Amino acid sequence: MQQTWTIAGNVDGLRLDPTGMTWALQNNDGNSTLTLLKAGSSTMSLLTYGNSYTNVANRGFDDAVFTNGNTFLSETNPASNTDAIVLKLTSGVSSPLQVSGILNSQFTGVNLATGKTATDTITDSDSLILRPNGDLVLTGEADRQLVFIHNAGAASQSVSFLNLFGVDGKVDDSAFNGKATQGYFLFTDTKANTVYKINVSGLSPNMTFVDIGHDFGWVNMNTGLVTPIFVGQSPHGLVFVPAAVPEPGTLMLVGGGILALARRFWRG
Amino acid sequence: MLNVARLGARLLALAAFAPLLTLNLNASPTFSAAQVFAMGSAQLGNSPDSIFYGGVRYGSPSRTAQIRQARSAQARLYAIRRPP
Repeated sequence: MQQTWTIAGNVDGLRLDPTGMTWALQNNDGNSTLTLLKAGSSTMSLLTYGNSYTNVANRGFDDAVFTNGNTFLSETNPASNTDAIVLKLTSGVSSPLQVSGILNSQFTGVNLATGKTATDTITDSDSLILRPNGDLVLTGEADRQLVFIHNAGAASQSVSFLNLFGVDGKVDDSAFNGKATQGYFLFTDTKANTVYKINVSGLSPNMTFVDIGHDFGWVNMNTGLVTPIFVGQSPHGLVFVPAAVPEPGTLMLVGGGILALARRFWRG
Repeated sequence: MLNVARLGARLLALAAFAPLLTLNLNASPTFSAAQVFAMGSAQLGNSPDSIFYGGVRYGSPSRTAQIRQARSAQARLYAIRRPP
């Protein structure tokens, strides 16, 4: 154990921003605030949201993603189809924090299982995660869906979604290996009061993994079928840590050595 | 001019390496059994929820802390050294 912090209120989203500050999003079900802290320091900063946050019962900020200089937040419990569930931070990182919606509870997107464009509604927005290709991935917890937002916040923004099946229960965090073929997963099993580690190798590029119901599993992105990898009590938080990859310079040296050996071998 | 026997030996050697070249094409994921990374109130408080790997960069992970959170009226965050 390196360090602990105590924060008043319920904390859900927990992210590291590009400057190295940890964002602890508090009170995702109303009266949201944000605490910033830094590993190695006991100092914490409490920030509040401005009037662009519709602070009604049960609605608050759950998770955050930092990409291309932008910060995006997911907001819980939309009360109507026109309530925003993904928002962009439009102010600096200081009180009052101001936001603007980029995706409403009801939207039009491509159903990845059918390939057809359809109207979809997320009623239980939750985790927001950055996919290695730059898409935002929103979990519809009770909706049992993953929503992919391409070019988030831009005029060219587009949305697709996938209904998950094969495993009962609500969906929580998702994780993606990108180009990495090996590494490990860390995931919290909340009811078991345990954090597990699973090593993995032989991954295909761009696989998708989720915590869903009692399971941690991988998702067939063509169908939405979830295949269990681990069955526990209630896996919630999930992260994939890729194995270290040799630096390009190291690869070139190794490759050069192999070529030299092959040449010598061929000449006899 | 290459001696036929020598050429044959080289082709055999190349054939011996062929499985290595195709190995990755046929790869399927192998998952280890779940290992307990941390458990119990001494390490986690109660009900661990969110978790992230600090400073992760795809293809080049840095050696920074991980933090996990126990959801409660007073949340506790924990920074934990990267596992081996």
